[in-house]
Amino acid sequence: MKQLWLKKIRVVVALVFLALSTVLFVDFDRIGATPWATLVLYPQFLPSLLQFTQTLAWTSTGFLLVLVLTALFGRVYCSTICPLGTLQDIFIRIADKLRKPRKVKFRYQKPHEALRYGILALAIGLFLSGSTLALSLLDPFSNFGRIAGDLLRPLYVAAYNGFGQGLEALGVAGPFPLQWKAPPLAALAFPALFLIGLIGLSATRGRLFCNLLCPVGALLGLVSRFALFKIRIPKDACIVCAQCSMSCKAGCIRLKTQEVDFSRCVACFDCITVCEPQGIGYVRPGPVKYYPLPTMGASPAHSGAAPSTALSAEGKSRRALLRGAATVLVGWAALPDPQAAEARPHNRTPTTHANARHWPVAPPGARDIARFNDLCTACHLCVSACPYGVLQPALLDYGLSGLLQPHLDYRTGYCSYECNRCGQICPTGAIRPLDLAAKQTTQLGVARFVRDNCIVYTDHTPCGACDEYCPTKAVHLVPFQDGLAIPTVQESLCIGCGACENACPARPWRAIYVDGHPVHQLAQRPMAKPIEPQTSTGDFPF
Amino acid sequence: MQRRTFLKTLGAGVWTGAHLALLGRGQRADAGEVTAGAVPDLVAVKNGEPEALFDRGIEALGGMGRFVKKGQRVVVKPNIGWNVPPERAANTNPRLVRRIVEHCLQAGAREVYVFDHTCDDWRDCYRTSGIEQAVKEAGGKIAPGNSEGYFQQIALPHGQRLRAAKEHELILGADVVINVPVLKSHGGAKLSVAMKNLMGVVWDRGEWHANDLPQCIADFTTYRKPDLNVVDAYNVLQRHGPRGVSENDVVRQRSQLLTTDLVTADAAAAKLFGVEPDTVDYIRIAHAMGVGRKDLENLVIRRIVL
Repeated sequence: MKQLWLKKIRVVVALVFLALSTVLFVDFDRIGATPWATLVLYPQFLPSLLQFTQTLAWTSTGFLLVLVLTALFGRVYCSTICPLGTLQDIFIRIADKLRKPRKVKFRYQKPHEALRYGILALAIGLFLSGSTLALSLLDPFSNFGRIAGDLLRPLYVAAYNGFGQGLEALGVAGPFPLQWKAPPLAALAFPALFLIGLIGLSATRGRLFCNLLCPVGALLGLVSRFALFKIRIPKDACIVCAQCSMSCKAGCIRLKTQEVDFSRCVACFDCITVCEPQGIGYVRPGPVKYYPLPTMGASPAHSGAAPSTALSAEGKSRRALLRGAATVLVGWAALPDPQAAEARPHNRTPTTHANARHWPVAPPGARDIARFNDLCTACHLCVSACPYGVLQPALLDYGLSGLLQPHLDYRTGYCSYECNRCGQICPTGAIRPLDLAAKQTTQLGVARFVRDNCIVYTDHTPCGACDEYCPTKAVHLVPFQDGLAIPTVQESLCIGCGACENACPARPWRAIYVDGHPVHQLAQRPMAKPIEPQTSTGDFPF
Repeated sequence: MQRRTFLKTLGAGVWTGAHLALLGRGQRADAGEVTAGAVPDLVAVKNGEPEALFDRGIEALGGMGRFVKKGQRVVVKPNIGWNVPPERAANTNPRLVRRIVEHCLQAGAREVYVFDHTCDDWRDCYRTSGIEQAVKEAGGKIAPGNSEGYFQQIALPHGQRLRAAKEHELILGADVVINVPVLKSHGGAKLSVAMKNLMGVVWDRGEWHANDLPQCIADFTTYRKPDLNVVDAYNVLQRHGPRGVSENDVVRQRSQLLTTDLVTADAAAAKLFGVEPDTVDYIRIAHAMGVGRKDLENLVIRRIVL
């Protein structure tokens, strides 16, 4: 019996998860939170596990489901639910199409257990000591999010808007254009480099990322070792044709011993499809019959020997590559923020006082920056979901440990008084959901007014853009000179939404900016008595 | 949307538009089809619902047929700046917008577009203000104003501080522009009415703020004045404008002003609001520049109390 249906199911489920995850990251802004978003997010292992530490709720138990699935069937998570896994499968398939026919696709790969579990231990150790850096840089869901959200989304938005313009050119009313607020370019470097590396790795080494670098893969591998159902090679039926081994993108089928390292198997079932004698199968372990190997068993020696020689040569180039990547990474992290001081002032007198921001501004629901940094894996779903484009990946705003975690960047937007979406969709619980009333009194930071940068002061002309946008009137105008009015801040009313900073036209340094709170505070709800209705004379005042 | 058509006509449009504006394009109907004495400079209506106020007001001003001819493309420009519901009065009343769209279509307009370059997220504003729904139900088209691609460079040869701007292509290609501001308080500009509402047809507002706001507001009106201004003073945001903090900032005045002269509209609205027109810088400046008239005492005003 050839279990061909297994692969078919795998492919269908994987494509559904990949498609939904992609749509979620590229088009969240337009479609909003939908029930199927829950379906996609619920079983994502690391986000779910982190969220569970915050909620202890059944809605955060997806990671348990994954553990149970893995204990029963092996790493089916890696071949279906994980969007980064399926993305690699697509790269593998494309590389396969481009490869010369008859060229060997894959070979058995050494398990590299020390490295693999070392990375897992490092990620867990760093996490326990309060840094999600390793987790967020290696977590598959978050990496997929950054690829789809940071890199694919702008392309999608451009295509969508181009399509709309095309329709308009034909005289048909097109859809309303989508918006994309550019993050600092340096923040796109990590996902871009990661993507390039991933394409290279998957094209040449299949799922090596999942079996070497991915902490989720390593952890699930520990469980799948003891899975109930496993891929097994019945030695009595095996003709050692090596088809399974060559098709194995996890490189976990060892022909020498006719054994499958199931801790690395990503349950793709490709081997079952290619097995000529229809022997290899997905079975429950039972009493295994051992038969002497056929004589040809020793012939495919190349499959065992070749990788080891190849490795030594490739090992060097890989080390060089890693060194190169590390250099780029460090250089990129040290880049000055290109938007820190902004060019092209409209104001006659360019401003001179730098904005002394002591803390970045963490999203509403983050509660405090340390807590937030400990839980966020920088998947950037909130960045995709933020309708105002204020959530942007941080460079070193939070320090190295908070690399790429979202912060509120008031140069690209401001936090809408009527929006609480980021907390509702955050898959790790780093941003906790806040109802609107709570969000409207959560003080993320406080606006600081720099009089010497203000256009009213420097150019002696009216402005008031900050006052205009302030939703609570924490920022309001008070009399200045010659009938002019100048802003002032009532801190107790300020929620740190940054509408004032975003609106301020002073450049290169703005005259009002929000300094974040390390621990979010409670703001007063604005209270004002109703205005007494005027006594109507029944006539017009003119 | 026919962006291509715009581009074709743009060169000529910018040139003639700039000059027509100064020749009083907004008043062309006065001189022509309606005899001068019969038509007031300003119609003020009060004590009614937004629809009834407009019905009576436009009738007193000669009917919508005076402004909109068969087959014309009309743009209605309300204030949809903020993501707040109608009762907060930071945006133009959706019932008034609906009524105006209906009148335009009855007068034979080919298309009636409604848009604003909003301050808050445009989708939120369009939805929460109730204006998107009102326009669609009335048979008009709601258009976005959130993307720089919609805005075309225009020259303002008669501006003092503002010499150029990027204006929304819908306005550039419109046969008739109906300006429908809401009367409200405003921090930087003191008052937001008809002239201030035109800030929503340009792309870069920060430039105005950084460059003498009242002068820029006045400068922009030298380009093309709206053919009709309808000031919504049904609910008036009396303080904390232009966004407002709560309904406590709102006073119900149940009034409306209609005029072809946006300076007149602002002057009369200032009076309704309770301030002298001369204390609002851009009204004084625009009058001095000859854009329109603030001297209400010398104008023919039709006052209607329902």
